[in-house]
Amino acid sequence: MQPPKSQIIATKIAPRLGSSHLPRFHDFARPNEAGFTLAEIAVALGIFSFALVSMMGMLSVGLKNSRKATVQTSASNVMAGIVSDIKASTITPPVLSSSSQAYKYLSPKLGISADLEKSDKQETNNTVTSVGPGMPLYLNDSCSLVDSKSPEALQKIYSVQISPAASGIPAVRVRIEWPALRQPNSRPEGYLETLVPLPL
Amino acid sequence: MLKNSLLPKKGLLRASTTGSREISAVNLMAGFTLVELMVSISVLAVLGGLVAQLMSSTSRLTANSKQSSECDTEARYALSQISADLSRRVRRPDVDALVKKKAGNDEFFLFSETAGYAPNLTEAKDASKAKNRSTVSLIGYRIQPVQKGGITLMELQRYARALPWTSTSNDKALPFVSMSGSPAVPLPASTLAGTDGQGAGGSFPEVVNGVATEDIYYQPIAQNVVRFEVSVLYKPDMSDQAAPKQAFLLSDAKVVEEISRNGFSNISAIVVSLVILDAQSAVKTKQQDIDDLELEDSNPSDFPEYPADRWNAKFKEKLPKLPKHLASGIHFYQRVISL
Repeated sequence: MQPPKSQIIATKIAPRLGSSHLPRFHDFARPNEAGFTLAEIAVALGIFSFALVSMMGMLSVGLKNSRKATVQTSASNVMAGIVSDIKASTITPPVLSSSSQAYKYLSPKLGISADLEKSDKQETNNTVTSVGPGMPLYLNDSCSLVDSKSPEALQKIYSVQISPAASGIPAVRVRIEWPALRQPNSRPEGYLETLVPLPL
Repeated sequence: MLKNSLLPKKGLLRASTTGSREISAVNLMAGFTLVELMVSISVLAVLGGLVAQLMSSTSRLTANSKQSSECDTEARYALSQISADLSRRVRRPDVDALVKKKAGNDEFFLFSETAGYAPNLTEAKDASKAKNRSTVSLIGYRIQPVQKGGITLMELQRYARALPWTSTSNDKALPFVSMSGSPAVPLPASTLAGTDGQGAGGSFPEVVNGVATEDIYYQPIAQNVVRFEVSVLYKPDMSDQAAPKQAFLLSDAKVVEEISRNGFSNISAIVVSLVILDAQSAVKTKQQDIDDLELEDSNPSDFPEYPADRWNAKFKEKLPKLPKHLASGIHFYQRVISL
């Protein structure tokens, strides 16, 4: 028959109480349980650092995506600004004596120009023959022209290219790319492209 | 007896001074020493500090981009509302419009075929009132300081009031053309509005002057707008066809004169420019900070710059001295709205 539990504890503790020192953890523990080994700690650290690194990786991805979304939103604002500028263009009709029978469009704010050849025979066959400026425009997020050589602090800058639409379509193609300052012939981080019909 | 033996002093003394059994046990099962603990805690603290820094800079960046997106949204809403009102404007040369150029914040009024508030004309059952109601509203925009939780914030407000065809006891009639002489001829808009929109010659200033006190007809369309400027693009002289010409901005004095005299007939586009603060910096920014930016045109010329270009240049010049919240929290928006 087993003695009562209290008695077992009493007999275990009694000799140490006799020597009257404070009972310690190792008095009750088996001596071969001597803490963690190096291998255990290495594995634990490995798991921990893996978790930490993947967490940090997720953080940076989230950050990059949120920045991308912000830049894209303000790019679409810039696009709206360019489209409204082109729609407010003044139209100079062709002079009869001149050999060129093109309607000349010139936008007020950004100075985007376009020549539209109107076909007499076919109303639908209007073609944009040339557009300006030939060089890319550098715009900030409030649609103001900036100097590409000296980027202003805290500003997003976009490069804007204007090109004529396909033959027969009275429109210009506007392409916004960012970042504006990057290695030549490198792929842009993002772009927006749209056709803007010229006001007839 | 048990209590006494548990006293730490006694135990510690015994363990450190006597008994080889205890000492060997201590050596075998040694815990961490103070130095080890300190080293590990300091390494942990450095790591923790780095992670915390990373976290805080990330959250600051996300907050910043969120704030600037919110500003974009405010601006887009306000600008598209103004474009919509302008595109539904009443297209007659004899219909008035008014631009008040003030130091910084302009006011702009026009008639537009859009819904407006009309508390005295809404009872559909009352046939006489329903008949009176027109589909044209007087539309206006202004910037107004608003108290919110003890802080003064600026908001862009839109005035929209449906006006009756004929005057009632509560509402003034639409101030369209007045007839004069016999046979009656319509007076040009300029006469209606008085000299440069300032005089008391006609009914439009009467309505517009009354507007200032009629807060009930205003509704906010964008928050934290600290500047609202209306500029006007004038159609260039196309008689000389040698070279294509660009529409140009009218000077402030001419804007008021041209709009109140000829309405929109010689205008190719309206340029609306806004300065919007993000919600965080709006709380911290005082009126003095805005004044220090000197956003007004200090040197008005006959051929003024576009407001956003001027603001950008000013901002670049003042950037080194700007408070941090203003440097990152201020946004300029501009839209050319063709008519």
